[in-house]
Amino acid sequence: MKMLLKATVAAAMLASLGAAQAAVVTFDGLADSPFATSMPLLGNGDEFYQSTFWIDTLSTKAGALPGDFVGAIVDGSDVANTCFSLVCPTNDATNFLASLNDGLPAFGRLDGGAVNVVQFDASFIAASGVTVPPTALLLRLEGYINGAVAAQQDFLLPGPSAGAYSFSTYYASDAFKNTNFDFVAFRGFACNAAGSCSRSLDTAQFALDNVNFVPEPNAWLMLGLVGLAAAGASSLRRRSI
Amino acid sequence: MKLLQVSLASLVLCASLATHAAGDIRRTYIVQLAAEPAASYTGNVTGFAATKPVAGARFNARSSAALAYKGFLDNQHNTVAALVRGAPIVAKYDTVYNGFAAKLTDAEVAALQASPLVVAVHVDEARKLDTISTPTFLGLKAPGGLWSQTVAGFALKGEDIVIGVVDGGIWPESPSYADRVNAGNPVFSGGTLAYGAAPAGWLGSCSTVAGEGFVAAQHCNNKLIGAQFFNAGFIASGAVKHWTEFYSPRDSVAGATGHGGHGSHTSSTAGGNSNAPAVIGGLSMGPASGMAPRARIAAYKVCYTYVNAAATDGTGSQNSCFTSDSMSAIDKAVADGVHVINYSISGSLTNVNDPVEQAFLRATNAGVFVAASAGNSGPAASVAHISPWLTTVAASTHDRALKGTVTLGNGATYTGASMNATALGASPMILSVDAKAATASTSDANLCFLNSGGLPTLDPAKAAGKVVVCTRGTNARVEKSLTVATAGGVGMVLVDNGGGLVAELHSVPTVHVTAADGALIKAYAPLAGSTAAIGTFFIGTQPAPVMAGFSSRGPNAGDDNMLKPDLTAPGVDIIATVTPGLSAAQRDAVANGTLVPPPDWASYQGTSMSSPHVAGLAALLRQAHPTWSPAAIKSSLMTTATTTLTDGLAGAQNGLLPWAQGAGHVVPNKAVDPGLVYDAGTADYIRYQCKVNKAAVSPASDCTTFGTLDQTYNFNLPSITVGSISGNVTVTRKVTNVGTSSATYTSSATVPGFTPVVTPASLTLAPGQTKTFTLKLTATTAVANAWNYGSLTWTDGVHVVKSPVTAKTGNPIVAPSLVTGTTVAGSRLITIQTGISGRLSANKGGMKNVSMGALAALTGGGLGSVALKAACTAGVDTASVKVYPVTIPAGTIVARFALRDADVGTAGDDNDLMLLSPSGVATYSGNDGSNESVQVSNPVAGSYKVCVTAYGGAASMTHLLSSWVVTTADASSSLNVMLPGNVVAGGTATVGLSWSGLAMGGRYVGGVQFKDPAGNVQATTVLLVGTDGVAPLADPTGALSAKQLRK
Repeated sequence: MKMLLKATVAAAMLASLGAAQAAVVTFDGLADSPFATSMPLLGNGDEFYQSTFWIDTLSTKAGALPGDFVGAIVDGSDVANTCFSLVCPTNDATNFLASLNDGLPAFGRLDGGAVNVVQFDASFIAASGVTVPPTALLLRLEGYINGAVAAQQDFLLPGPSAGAYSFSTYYASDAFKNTNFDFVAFRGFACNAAGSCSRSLDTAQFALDNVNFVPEPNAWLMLGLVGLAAAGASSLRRRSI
Repeated sequence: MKLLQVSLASLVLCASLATHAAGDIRRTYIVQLAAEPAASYTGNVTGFAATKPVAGARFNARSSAALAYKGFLDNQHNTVAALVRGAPIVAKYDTVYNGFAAKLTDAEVAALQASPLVVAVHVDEARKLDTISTPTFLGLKAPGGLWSQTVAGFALKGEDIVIGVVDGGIWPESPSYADRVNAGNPVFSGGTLAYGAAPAGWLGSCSTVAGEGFVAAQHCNNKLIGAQFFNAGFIASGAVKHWTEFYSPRDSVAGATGHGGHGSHTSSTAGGNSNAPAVIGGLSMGPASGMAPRARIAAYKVCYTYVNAAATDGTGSQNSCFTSDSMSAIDKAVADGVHVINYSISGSLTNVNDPVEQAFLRATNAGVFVAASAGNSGPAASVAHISPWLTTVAASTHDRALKGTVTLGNGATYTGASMNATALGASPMILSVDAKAATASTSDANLCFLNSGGLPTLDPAKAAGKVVVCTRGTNARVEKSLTVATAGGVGMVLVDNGGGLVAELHSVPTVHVTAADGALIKAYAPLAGSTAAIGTFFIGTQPAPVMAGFSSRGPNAGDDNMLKPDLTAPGVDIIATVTPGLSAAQRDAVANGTLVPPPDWASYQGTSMSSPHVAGLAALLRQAHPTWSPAAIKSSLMTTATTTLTDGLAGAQNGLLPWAQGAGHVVPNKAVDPGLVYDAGTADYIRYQCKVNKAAVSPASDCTTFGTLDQTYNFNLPSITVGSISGNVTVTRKVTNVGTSSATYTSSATVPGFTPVVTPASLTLAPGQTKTFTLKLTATTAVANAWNYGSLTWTDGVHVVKSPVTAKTGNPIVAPSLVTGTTVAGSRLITIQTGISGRLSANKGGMKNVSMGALAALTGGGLGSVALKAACTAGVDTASVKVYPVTIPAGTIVARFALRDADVGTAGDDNDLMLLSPSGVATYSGNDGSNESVQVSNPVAGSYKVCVTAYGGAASMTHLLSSWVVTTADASSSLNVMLPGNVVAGGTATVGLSWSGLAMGGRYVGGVQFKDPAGNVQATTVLLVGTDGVAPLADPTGALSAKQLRK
């Protein structure tokens, strides 16, 4: 029921977007979403929208329940307050997504169109008081086709520099840019000093901003009932993650 | 979202202006601006070179770079001041603090807070000198015994070191400040000149402002090289100067109604001449000497005596030190080029962002060592000056004591503390409670109050001609002997209450005996024919050092991952130079220069007296090691300290614990060669500030450049304290070999309840080399929430470098106890530590706006925590205590009660606050002024009492009580809590808190209880959000406990 409602609202939102063709998710200027009612806090299964994209925040834990805390939209100019006892990146004064507690953020197009990632900004987020090794996180970009991972690319995010974290820009491979995925997701694995990385201790946490996608200039024109149906279909597919 | 926040910010400003449109009352504020002050400035402003001194060098206020940068700051001051045209500027600061003090309306405060150039706006506060109050009620200056030199024979004497004393001024006629010597004694004329010109680098001077009773050319010399006074904040407060006071560097007059002497006492203790003949009441007490007798002294006067008819000590006057004046003095002292500052003035118990603490940070960055007094509110937890850059000094006894004996008719003899000069033959005895007047209360009679219910407490018909047995507590000790004398009594046996024996002048022959001896004497006195004889005092010895009962204890209420106090030094029965008691006519003659007054001497006690001991010792170490940082000096004093002897107090108040003595009692002869030091410098302080006080870091990019300290227990202190351990914790430290040869140090560590592992277990360090090690503490048998006390020692066979280690395991869930905010909507991401696995749950309540009580009027009563607890337990309103019964229902998450300076009738009123639980456990807030709060999380349901007491201030003291009782029934959509799906034992997870929909102008409280998988509450986080334009006072009094019993 929720998914059907999501698709309807998503279509309505898309209709209100006008001819905007931006293909960058910046997390700035987000409209209220009826599926992320605790915004700026985000739970398992929440969904919000920017440009022509939907963003879901998900938990992959066994026994996870809707609403389990997996992320937040953080105002980068206020990290000193918002990241009360987290160590968040400090070189981004705009909004960014904090993916927390082993959360998994996923991105797709509202019109169901193909998703191709170009680049994104990311940083590790640490819990206060925890010693973090030089390589803090293995961040895996996953491309999904028909509900299964069709391609993946790993990025290594560094530990602190003088106790602080900063966003860096990471670039997807040509293969990733050129493959038409149904949607993409970011899966973090927190690394220990021995270089072993895992995602079961709530320590796979990272910040994400400026996710750049290959523009689809014709997508808007093609939108209609077909697009609505496609949006619904994409939501259904997401459930199978 | 950014746009939304911008528009909210403008709403804040507009709403504040509207709310305070009628608030045209001006109060003094300290306005902190963004750029670094000159002593800390590292060159990040284009076109202005760095002015922060390199290690070992002093800040040069007259360098072209400093002058240029100060010009830049002055322009910034003017730019910001232009936002509040018409506001009188009280003072400007540019050396250790960037900002100014001004008299501002509420609207002007709001306007300044909205400026990006303004970091913070702090209310100017009146602070107290930290002498234990031996009130001048009787006109008696407390004399004492020969002062023990704790560094006698020490070869270093402070040559060419300048000690700045920020205090109550100086009495220049004391030989402690003479610069000539005749036959080994300091003199002002004749003999030979003993000091050359002021040492190189000294840029200060004697006051060039014409001051009362102080002429630079006449009163300053090559020993007293600086003497200045700062009274703009005092004058701005509107207080009426008392006749004993001087607007000049001169310390004020003592005597029946005066409060002078403190500034002279502290400065002479730190750096007064040796062989200064101490004379009390015509009786020679032998020669006195400062700790660094060859050091030069620069006095910076900031404390003034003013008329206050309601003064709790009955003198009709009071002495206070305004923050804004202290700031001016610290600013000037660093610019002048002092090496060491002593600050024996009270301070914040919880806040390192206090303007004075921040000024001292910049002073430390400029290489100036700062000693500060821990406070006289012991033996409860109440330690002040908690900043890691300060050396915070507790007080303990020394081994010489003035003693006297009382001999009973049964032949028993008891020795106690005494200054009695006239022997009293065997005289009849009576207990004070048996000599009480019919109208007096038994409790007042027991304590020998002068009056009870407005009438004399003791009945002369019963007391005349007798030795009266009185009990210590509540009122001044010297008031008790006055009570006896007034009733015709001829002697007093004063029975102690655990505070420690004190020798001082009394109105009748007096011996102050221990509680144990007193119990025996009290049993004998009521017998028929009982008599007592009191002998004259003699100089005896006593086991020492023992912590003074009044010395404020830890734990550190602002950060339980840092130990305070740092160490202890002598602060009981300290004889040093003071000011004499003069008549008003004599005082006027001194003021106009027609009378050269005599010096005087007295015995004082307090952490005010111990702090200048450490300042003086630091001067010696600074002389011995010119390149040592303030942190290295502090480390050397701490790691070579020895333990005190037990004071017999129970529980966490015991003097052997680090809460009382810190690392221990100073041993200066070892401190000069400590082997290793735990050093810290500007980068460490920045990293610490980025962790706890980010808004004060300038430029903000420093937190990127230098990073942020991960946990405050990892600050490189020579002590290790961890307040909440889930399973295990790894603490990091670095040590530097300050010896002259390479050495291999091996570690040993013991912490009961934990397995301590030091990695690496041994360190080989070349001279000057620094290496890092970790101490991992793994809990074994440690009981949750109970402190454990151990130590870490490094030794190379020659040096022993010892640090106290205090550690406590936390609950299975550890969450921040307090989170604050200032916006109508916001979010906080908090880390919780978990000692369990599974799915957590939570209760929430709030956000709930304040509930204001009705206006209540009281009269000042001077009640300390013990008396307030008694009154609160009685539960009946009195003239000075208002009792508010409060029912705390089941399901309460947090109950918070507060007073504000803004809600009292007269600025400067000192109200205190207590919360009393159904089982009689008190939570107390006894700050200077009326910014008080008591808070209890997860309280047991029942009938509580909140008690407000008027401590002192205007004749009629009004207040409004702020209350919040937040229960699970108060849960609303204004507070949202999101929990992780599951947690793992020994791990961490992130919890999201957000609030929204709050109204402007409110003060909201919310709370979250975190529950383990079994549903038991294991941690509580309280959220304070002030949308009234004033940051909430982050002043939690924490768990329900009998802490902070002070005054």
